[in-house]
Amino acid sequence: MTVNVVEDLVVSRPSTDNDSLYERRAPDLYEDLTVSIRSSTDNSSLYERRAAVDVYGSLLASTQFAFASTEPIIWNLPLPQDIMYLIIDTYFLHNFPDPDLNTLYNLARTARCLTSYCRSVIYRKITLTGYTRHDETMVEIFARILSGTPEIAHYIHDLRIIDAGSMFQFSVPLPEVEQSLKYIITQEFPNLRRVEVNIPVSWTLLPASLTHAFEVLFQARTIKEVAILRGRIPPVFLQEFRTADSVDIRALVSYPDGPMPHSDNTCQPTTLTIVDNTPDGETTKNLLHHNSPLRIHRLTGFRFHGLGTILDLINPTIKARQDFLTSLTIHAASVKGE
Amino acid sequence: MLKYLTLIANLTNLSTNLFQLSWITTTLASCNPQALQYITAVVPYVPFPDFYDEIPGWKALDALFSETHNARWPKLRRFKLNLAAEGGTDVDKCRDESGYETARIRSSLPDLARTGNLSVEIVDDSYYPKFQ
Repeated sequence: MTVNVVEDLVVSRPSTDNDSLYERRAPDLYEDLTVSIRSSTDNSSLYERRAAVDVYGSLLASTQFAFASTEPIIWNLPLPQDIMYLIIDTYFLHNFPDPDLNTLYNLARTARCLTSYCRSVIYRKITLTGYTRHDETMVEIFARILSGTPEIAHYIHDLRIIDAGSMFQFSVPLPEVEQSLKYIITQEFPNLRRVEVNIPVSWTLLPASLTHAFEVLFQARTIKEVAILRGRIPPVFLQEFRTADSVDIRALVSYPDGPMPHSDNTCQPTTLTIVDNTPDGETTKNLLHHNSPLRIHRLTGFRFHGLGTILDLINPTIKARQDFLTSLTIHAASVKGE
Repeated sequence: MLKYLTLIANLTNLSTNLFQLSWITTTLASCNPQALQYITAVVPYVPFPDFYDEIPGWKALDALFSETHNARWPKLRRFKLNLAAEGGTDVDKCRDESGYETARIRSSLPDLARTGNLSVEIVDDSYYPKFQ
């Protein structure tokens, strides 16, 4: 019987100059990030730093798993595979928002027959941020990892891009971090189901090549959920979400004065979330405009968060779908006349 | 047909919000309740449970579920009343460990409580979007 459960994959892999750099830097990075998280009081920065830990996980995982031994893997754990996978899912995937990734990395390193499954869990959700350590952003680090081990793209189901305001320079040629982001989002992710973008920029000001890269990302046929949580987007951008069943718009949706052109390509979600922070309902008006790419004929779930003064704007949508809506959420942040 | 309905009151500017709950009652009264199974109402948390009795719309909300109106909700399985407290550590401070506050609020909605579907819970308001 071959016993190969316990194996330090770092030792077994061929070493290169770049590898030693990763191995030296990764533990330092993790320690620094942990300290930063505990000491930070700024929420947005905290969010970005926490997200950075996810990318650290990717770094560690890819550098230590990627060159695993080619010997056949034999299942020799005392529990059957499905039970072990259930335990991993329950303990790591469902322990949101603080999955114990560190334990998962250690599990993947010590039980070789679990390495592949652990990788699928580690890479399931990737968060890219502009957070910088050692003069390199997390986006750049992950671009390098993806370039070196492109097979990890298969594991990614949920991709989140979060910027606290430092990632985009609106300049041409693209700075390094934006080039790295462009590289990542134009790769093929065969199992990507959800994309969340949380960047405080106007999409119309982004360089054309970067906008095109986002279009490539959103047009992936596998994507079922899209969330745009900050910034400013033109209504026409929704036509890129043509495969999404769930659309969550919290950004400002603005359109310059003048008639909105009709869009032939449409976005037809079954679940729609609108968070409209504007006093006059500009986002809601533009999203629900008859020329907007957004179509409501499949809508069965609708969540609206906005000032009570603009509730009238969603009445036509609710009436049009009153026989089909099964779930409705209304958050009136203030009420007309009060 | 609507199965899940969630109505969230203004959770900021607490001093003026208490008078904005009537729209929840009005909306509930005007919706088609035949298929509704789960209703969630989210209102601001106030550390003085007696205060809820004074809120306009509070008694009207309860009256929608009185015995004379109970047939309006043939499929209702749960009415969740979430009391949204300010996020972070403030939520822990106002956790109703003894159960007194939530029990007191339940008693202020006797008809709704009698249906057996009412649950009252203090929740973290950071889950909901904030508005200026």
